[in-house]
Amino acid sequence: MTSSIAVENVTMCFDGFDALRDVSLEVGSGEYAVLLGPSGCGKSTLLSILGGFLAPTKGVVRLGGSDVTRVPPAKRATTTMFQDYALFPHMTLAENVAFGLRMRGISADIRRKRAAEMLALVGLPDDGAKKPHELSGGQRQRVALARALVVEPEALLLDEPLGALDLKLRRAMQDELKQIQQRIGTTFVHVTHDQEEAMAIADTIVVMNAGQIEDRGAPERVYNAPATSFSAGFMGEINMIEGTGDGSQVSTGLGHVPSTMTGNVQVAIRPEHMLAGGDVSLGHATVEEVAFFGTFCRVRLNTDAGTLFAHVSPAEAPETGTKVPLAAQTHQIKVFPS
Amino acid sequence: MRALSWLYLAAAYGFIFLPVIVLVTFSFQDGRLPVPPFKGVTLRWYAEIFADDRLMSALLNSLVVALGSSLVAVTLGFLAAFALARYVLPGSAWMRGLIAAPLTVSYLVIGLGLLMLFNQIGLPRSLWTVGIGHVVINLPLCFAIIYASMGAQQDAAERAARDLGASTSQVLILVTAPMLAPSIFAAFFLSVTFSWDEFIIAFLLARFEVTLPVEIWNMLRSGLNPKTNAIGSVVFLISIALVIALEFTVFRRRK
Repeated sequence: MTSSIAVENVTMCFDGFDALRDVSLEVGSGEYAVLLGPSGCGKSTLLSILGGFLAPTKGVVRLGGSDVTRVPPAKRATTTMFQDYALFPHMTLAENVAFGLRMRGISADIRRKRAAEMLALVGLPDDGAKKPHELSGGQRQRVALARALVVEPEALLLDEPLGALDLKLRRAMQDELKQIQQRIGTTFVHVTHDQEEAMAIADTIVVMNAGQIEDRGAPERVYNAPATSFSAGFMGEINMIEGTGDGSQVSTGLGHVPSTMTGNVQVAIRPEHMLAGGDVSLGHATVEEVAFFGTFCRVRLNTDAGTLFAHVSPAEAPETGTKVPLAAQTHQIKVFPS
Repeated sequence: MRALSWLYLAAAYGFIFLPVIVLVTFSFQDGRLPVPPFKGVTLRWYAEIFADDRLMSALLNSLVVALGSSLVAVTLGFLAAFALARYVLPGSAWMRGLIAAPLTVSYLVIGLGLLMLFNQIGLPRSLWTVGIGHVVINLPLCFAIIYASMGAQQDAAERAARDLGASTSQVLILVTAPMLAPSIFAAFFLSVTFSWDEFIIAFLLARFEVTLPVEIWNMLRSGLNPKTNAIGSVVFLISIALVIALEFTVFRRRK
């Protein structure tokens, strides 16, 4: 079973502070959505509302079309995988995984069988008799996943599930999460502040800031054509240049950029587009420093519009102190009101 | 310097344990008075106390009151701690303070207060009233111990249990209580120890059936006798057994 999950015009106030302001979002059935934003943006609050741990001040929560706003977590067909995993330390892994089935009154035989299947699904087939304290962080995370999935929720909510893991393990686990989601087809809503994790894993990225949704779309679209300057800045490094628009073009310290915007604007260009060439010339810059990052070099440029950065492949890195021409393609340049 | 610190250690332990050593030693006194000189070893006094029906029934009463009142105190303390730790209640800070307040009141005052209350409402003095008195003194202790050990770890596990469909009573029985088992056991054994030793409240609130400390006091009124040493040694032995049980059940689990 899997369902769409949605919030409509949800507002959440805590003692005069609005954690969420009139947020509407629908995650389709079987979709892997990632709520992405800095801490304090309201993404965890939104997840708690979806899971039933918080009741919104205003608005409606829908699961598969029916209103579940006032349904408590125990009765709601969603399960949550908590940030710290929240395993039951006094139970074996098999008992942990089978807990939800036990609460549903399912017989011990079937519970044992289903728990063993779930532990096998998450790659721990022989560890059912162990206790949580015998496991590593990554293994605990798998048990928490199995425990949340065994009850066949209509949507699984994941609250920074990889936050406690080291970087290498996090990258491995995010692939595994995606594979498991594709295999079982359940709707996943995943909260993170790591934009690389979001891009690697999501069907849909929902960028949040200050209690509102800034952007929502496929990772490529959100990265290449962000809806707002916040979204552009949060989805990886970007150069922001001040400019003024007159309706046909924008004047900046680097020259003219085509745009229909008027007034004070910000021109956004990703660092990998700065030195790659294109139809819009952006003047020249002096190379101040070249830092090696393995797959690319990060180049610090002194330009007429201040310090900017470019990413180039190590083979094409310019020498420090040389003058380089800047240019980008029209579609790589985004203009936002400032 | 080193010798001096050893001497200090010996003096400190001597100060604590000398009375107990004297008590136990003279419980074996082969003579009518439990005072020096030590005249020889006999088990006669132990034979006498175990043959003494009043002493043995007082010992049994003490055990029943200690176990029963501790069970009630631990259950109530656990439920109160859960409620105050997990729910936003109006005036929870005040309620926490009020529950813990009896810890600061002397047993004499609590005993007198209860005695007056029971007289007022016409509840006759019995082992039941002693038990109620011991719940009054042990509940704050149980609450404080269990409340202090309720942390974020249990909170998260409780949320996970609810999310998986557990009702509040299932959360309490299957998750909270097992996770807090060490502090629940510690609270229980401390309560048993306090109730077992408690004299003033038991003295004020009991009538025909009395607990062991009250019976020993009755014996002391007729003068010193190695029998009192013998029963005192038995009390001490049972207290030691409780401490060892605590050590094994609670502190072993923590390792």
